[in-house]
This record gives sequence, structure tokens and C-alpha cells, in this order.
Amino acid sequence: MNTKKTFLMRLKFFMSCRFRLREIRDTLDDFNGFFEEGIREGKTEGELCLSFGSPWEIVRQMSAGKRRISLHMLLALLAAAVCGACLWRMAASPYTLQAPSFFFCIPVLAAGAALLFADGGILFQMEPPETFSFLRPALWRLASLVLAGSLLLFCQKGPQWIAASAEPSAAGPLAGGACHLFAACGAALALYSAYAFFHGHPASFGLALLGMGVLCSSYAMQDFLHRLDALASSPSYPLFPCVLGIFLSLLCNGALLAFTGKNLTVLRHTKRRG
Amino acid sequence: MDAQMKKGILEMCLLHELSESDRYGYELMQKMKQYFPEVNESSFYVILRRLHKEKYTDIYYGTSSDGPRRKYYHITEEGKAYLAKAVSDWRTIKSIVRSLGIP
Repeated sequence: MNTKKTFLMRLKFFMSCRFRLREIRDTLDDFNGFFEEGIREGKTEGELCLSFGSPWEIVRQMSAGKRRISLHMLLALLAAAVCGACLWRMAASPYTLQAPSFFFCIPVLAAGAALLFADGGILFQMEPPETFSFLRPALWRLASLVLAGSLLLFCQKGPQWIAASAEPSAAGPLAGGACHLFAACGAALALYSAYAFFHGHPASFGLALLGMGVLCSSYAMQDFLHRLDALASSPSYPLFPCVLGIFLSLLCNGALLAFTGKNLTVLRHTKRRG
Repeated sequence: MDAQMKKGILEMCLLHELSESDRYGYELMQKMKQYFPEVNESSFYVILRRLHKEKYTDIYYGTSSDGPRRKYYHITEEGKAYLAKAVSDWRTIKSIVRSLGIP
């Protein structure tokens, strides 16, 4: 399985957390060029991969002297953690989100683990075993499948949850419209996750995950509106934790957006070159 | 060979190659590989990349008549100064080692 395609993919994967987009592009371009030259000389892709060595080793050498934990990874891990916490809070909220919402946490936590895997390999100076390179696209596929499943569940159950959680006063046109919007967003994202499934790449999975984060923060917004209503009727309602929750989830969605957006650009770039 | 020592020596050799004529990445990697068969090709790339980052080299693009667009590396004045310093350090070390009686 030592092909140019897998070599460049692994190189990009390990670089994606630690380097700026321009650097990643340059390096991928350079190696693309080396492969072209080598093939013109009559070497096979397998031979060239062997002589270039492992992508992990290349990235490790390149990141010598850099800060050990990349800011990017910290942000993305924070995003995953807070998204997970936000979901858990939703699950525990009085607004009748039931146990299945724990299901949503799985892909979010999986993304955190994957980031740890990509960047942690460099961080802890441990090369992931070669067998994982075969497993990895399969892992992404599995995660996107779980995501698609949970999103489908979300668009089926979400509107019910919102409708059930709405105070009688708020269950007007606003709640109704939000329900339909939710269902539509969830369905679109589930479709996108299916696309990510065929792609088997972290970037596409990340984007689907991002969509889910946005959906969650809009749920938090909805929750906030309900709380405002409740506050109007009983002044002892805790407003502050709710506002903080919304702020954190928006912040983390921004971080996830930065991460996936960057990866997506790199992905497009390599597809065009490859 | 010790990693730090190897790094310094490879840097010096790469810059020396570039001071003789401009070269493109693949050519340089292949040439260095002939002299250092135990060093991985991409290690040369990593060093080349760092030399460029330190502004010891310039990059320009050229095309061969039948081939792809190639990225050529050219040594800068800073690079030449760095090379001269590295060579004089190397000479000092060599003479110290000699005077200790190691041939």
C-alpha cells in the first residue's frame, strides 16, 4: 500500500495540526515534484516511498525546535471537550433531552481522540504503528457513519424535544419554525456525513462534525430563549450559566471551523494536484 | 553518527553544493544520497527547507525543455557567510582532532 497517494495523505495528516497552510502546501508540492521526477527516472512509487522514509519521521524532523503542543490542537481539543460537555448538559437539562443524546457525544469525542492521534504522535515522539495507516480511513468511515446515524436521530427527535420543552407561551410560530429548520439542517448534515463516509478523510468528517456543532449551539440558543421566557416568569432562574454556555459553544465552533476549513483547503489542493 | 553533529555537517555539505551551482530539490537529494547512503533522502529535504527558512537560500522556478516546472535553490549572501563560518569551524575541529593524534 506504499503509493504516492497514501504517502501524501499521511504527510498532510501529520502536518495538519502543526503547520500553517502555506507550509503544508509547499511541502506537499515539493514531494509531489519529487515523485514526478522519480517516476520519470523509471522508479516505482513504492521504491520512492521507501527512499523518502516515513511521513511521520519527516514531520517529526520538521517540527524539531517548535513548541511542543500546537495552539491549534489545544483549540480543537477544547472545542471537542466543550461540545461534549454542552451535549451532556443538554442531556441532563430539564428540557427532556433523553439518554440518546449521549450518542451525539461519541463523534465529538472521536474527533478529539483523532486529533490527539495526529498531533500526539509527534508530541509524544511515538510513531503510530503502520497498521493504523490501513485502519485510519476505515476509522473515519465508522465515525462518519455514527455521526450520520445520530444526526438522523436528531432530526427525527429534535423537533419533538423542542416542541416538548417549549413553554406554552413560547410554543408559537417561533418554536414551530425552529423545529423545521432543525430537521432540515439535520437532514442536510446527515447527507454530508454520508459523503464523508465515502471519502474516508478527516477533513470531510471534520466538516460534518462542525455542522453538528453549529446545530448544537443553535439548540443552546433555543434553550437560551426558553430560559429568558422562564426568567420573565420567575426571576430566580439561573441566566448566567446559560449565557456562558452559548458563548463557549460559539467560540468552540469557531475553532472547529478554523481547523476543518484549513484541512478542507489542503484537501482540495492535493486533489487538484494529485 | 550523533544527530547534532550530523545535522551541522549535512548543512555545510548542502550549502557547499549550492555554492557551486544552483540545483533543484530532487537532484540535490539524489546527489547527497550518493555520498551519505545511510541518511534518508527526506532528511536532506528537511535541512534544505530549514536553510531556506533561515534565508540562506533563494528559490526560483525554472523549466526544463521536456520536464516539469522545477524549484531551484540559489545560495544567498547570508548563506555564503554562514557556509564560510561553518567551514572554518570544521577546519578548527579537524585540526584539534588531528593534534590529539586521531588520524
